[in-house]
Amino acid sequence: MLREVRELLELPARFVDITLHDVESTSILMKDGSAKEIATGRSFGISVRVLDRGWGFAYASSAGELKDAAERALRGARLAKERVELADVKATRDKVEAIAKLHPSRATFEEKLDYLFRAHDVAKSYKSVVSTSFAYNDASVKIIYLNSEGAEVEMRYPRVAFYAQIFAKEGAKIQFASERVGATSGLEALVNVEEVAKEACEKAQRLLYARAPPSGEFTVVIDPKLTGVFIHEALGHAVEADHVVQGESILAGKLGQSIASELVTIYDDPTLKQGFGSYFYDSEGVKAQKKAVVEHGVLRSYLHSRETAAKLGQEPTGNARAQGYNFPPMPRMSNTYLARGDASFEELIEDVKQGVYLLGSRGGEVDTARGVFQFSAEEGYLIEKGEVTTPVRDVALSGETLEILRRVDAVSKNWGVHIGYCGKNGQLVAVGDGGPAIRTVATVGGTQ
Amino acid sequence: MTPEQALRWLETKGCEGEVYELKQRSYGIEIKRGEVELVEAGEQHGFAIRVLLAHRMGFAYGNELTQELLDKALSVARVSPRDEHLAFAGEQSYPSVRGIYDSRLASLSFDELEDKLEAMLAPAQSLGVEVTQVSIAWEVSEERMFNSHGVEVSEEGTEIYAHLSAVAKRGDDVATGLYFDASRSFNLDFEAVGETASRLAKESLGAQRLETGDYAVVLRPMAMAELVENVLIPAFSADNVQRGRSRLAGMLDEQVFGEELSVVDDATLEAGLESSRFDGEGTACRSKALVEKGVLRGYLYDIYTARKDGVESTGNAFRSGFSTLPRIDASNFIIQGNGGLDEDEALVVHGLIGAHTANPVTGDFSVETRNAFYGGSPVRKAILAGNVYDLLSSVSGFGRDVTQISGVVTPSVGFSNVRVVG
Repeated sequence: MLREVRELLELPARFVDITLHDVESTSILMKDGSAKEIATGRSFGISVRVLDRGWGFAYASSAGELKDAAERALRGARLAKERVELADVKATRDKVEAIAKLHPSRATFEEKLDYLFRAHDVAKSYKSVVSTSFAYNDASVKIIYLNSEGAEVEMRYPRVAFYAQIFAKEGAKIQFASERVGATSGLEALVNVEEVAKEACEKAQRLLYARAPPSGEFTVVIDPKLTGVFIHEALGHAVEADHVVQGESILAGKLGQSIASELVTIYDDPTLKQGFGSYFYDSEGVKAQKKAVVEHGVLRSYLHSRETAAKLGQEPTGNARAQGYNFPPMPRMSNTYLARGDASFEELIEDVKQGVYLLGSRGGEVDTARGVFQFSAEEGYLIEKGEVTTPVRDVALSGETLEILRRVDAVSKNWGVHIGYCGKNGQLVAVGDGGPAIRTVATVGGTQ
Repeated sequence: MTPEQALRWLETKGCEGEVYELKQRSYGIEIKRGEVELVEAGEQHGFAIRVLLAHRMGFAYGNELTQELLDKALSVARVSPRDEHLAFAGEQSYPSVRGIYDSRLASLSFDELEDKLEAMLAPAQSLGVEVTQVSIAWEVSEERMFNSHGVEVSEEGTEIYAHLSAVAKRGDDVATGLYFDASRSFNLDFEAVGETASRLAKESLGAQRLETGDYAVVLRPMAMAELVENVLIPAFSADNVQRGRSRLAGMLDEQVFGEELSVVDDATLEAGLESSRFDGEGTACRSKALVEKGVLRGYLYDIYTARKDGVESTGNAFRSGFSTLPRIDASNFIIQGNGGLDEDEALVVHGLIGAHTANPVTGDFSVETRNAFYGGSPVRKAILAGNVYDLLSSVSGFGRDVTQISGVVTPSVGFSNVRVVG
């Protein structure tokens, strides 16, 4: 098949790339102790991009249709009118495989189920827990990328994830909490599922006794999980260079300028060991690299595809990603995190007269052009006179990128990166979000 | 092998079987800035097998229907728990659903979109706003279902989708507008998509902060749909109800919302975006009343949850491709109510930011607004905070602008007392 692929790279066009995706996966959903939904399968697909003036993109789900797909891409490219250039990169030939101690393809269904039974056993001991869902997902990914400049990269990696969703009840009150763990690695990343389940159970239980949050502008202290989502929404999307090129980023034209407090240094790092958003090469065969997006408050880099790098006359960063063979790549985050500071958690809290301490994430969303974003915490506590007091729940925060980043006035030492999925233009990719606990000012959207 | 051969082989293993086949052609064009930058044409074909071996279910998917796929499904069944409620659909008759396949769309060429694109882009130009993204995508799909009980049914469908984002600028002031629409046929109003997005951007310039307080709020169909999809629809799923994860559990025939509100889930809606003759298990689709004048009348079932409750499946087990199991979801979730909408003293909200972060169990939400206007003037930032069940018990009126946004069909809906954090 590769011979046929190489022949098609010679299509009469400025640039051609072809990617073969072969993904085997197993997912198990255990509902209330019974492994109700087990699914396994394999999906193969080819994507072809042809650059004439603009892009033609085509895909097919069988090897026999490769040539047909290439022709469709070529016809498409001839219809596209916008002139697209690509930044130069070294054409790499490489073959890489992620190290996995326990590769999912070598584990039996029983071994995979065991993670869920272990988690369920933990949940059983909680009286208030009335319903549980535990999910196990793995994917064994093989990607071969070739382009007309001579690049030929083969990547193999497994990715695993475990999710816990716990419902707790007390009288008429019902609350839920989630926890998850995962990595670009083998099953060894799931050793602590019991702790993850325990944390979810305790959180759900705590939420039963939490009250609705206050509303208005507050000093907020957010934990590493929420910092990750905050960075992702407040800054990450606005530095995706397609938004910059399209005139829909509040950070357009701000490279080299101070956009955040000096305490803020942010990296996007697809080379992070075992990170959920880690990869060797991006979907255009560009080598993954760690880069500082913000350094001591100064905007240093956008996240580029080869196309956006050329358009802005900047260096490619290896951030073009596609969800699968049936999607064209675009600039995306990988593992995005805030660098640690030197404050202790107590120092973050002690001089707050009235504020809110927020933990865990239920996701967020941003309007990059206006820089207005929303993100939600799973739980929180009021901070009164330097002390963490009353528990609160369903706490959403909103803010404006340029304002909230400037108002970060304390960054702690504790640090962690957590797993997530990021949606953009209908494509979902695995990402890592993280950082330390930080303090800033945001609008808290409570009902009181 | 053919689906018939697969089912026959499974029978020799003492197994019931089900074969789902999906063939899809997808097309699209994208404009980022300026002219068409990407033209897409994709094809996908895949199979999903479910087997029932002594009341144990197995599932496997792949691009081809092969012996290996059947073996995989069986190996899954062997490690799956035994459950007497698991079953496949029996032979039955299917409704005819109109307006879900358009031969013109099935054979649409890219040239035919040129004037549609122009129509989409024109309003931005005349209003003096910048277009930042345009996409048009369409899809032709064919689904086939077979099972050991004699179910053999197929359907072809088409759908086209158009989206435009615009940015309006005046000095340092930046405002955005986005709008999208979809249709099962080529009659989509492309100009209205461009016009709505551009106008929203332009009219949102000069936005001011709103003081925190309790306001009358009107949710436009897009905002309403985002809230309903994320917070309300999950509560109607029989799976969530049976597992104690729904506020609507045990409330059948009780008043759950204000009496001016009714909800119907109708998979047979003519030209509905989620309309279909059969669901992902081969059950005939139909229309069912979920809420009548505020009284809860029913839940959404698949075969498994229906057997648990001793009722019939409502035909609400839907598939999202061939690689996932059918899951309970609404089809066309229709919000009904009549008149009485007063927008004069209300915060009118066109879209939400972060609706997916709301609490689907309690109904509590706290979301940022997109393109919100108070007394006709744009509002800069405003969080809406409240509870969907309280909200739907205090409906003050319904608009006449019934629109389908994804799976939700709704007019603008007014609410009397909502916390707004400015």
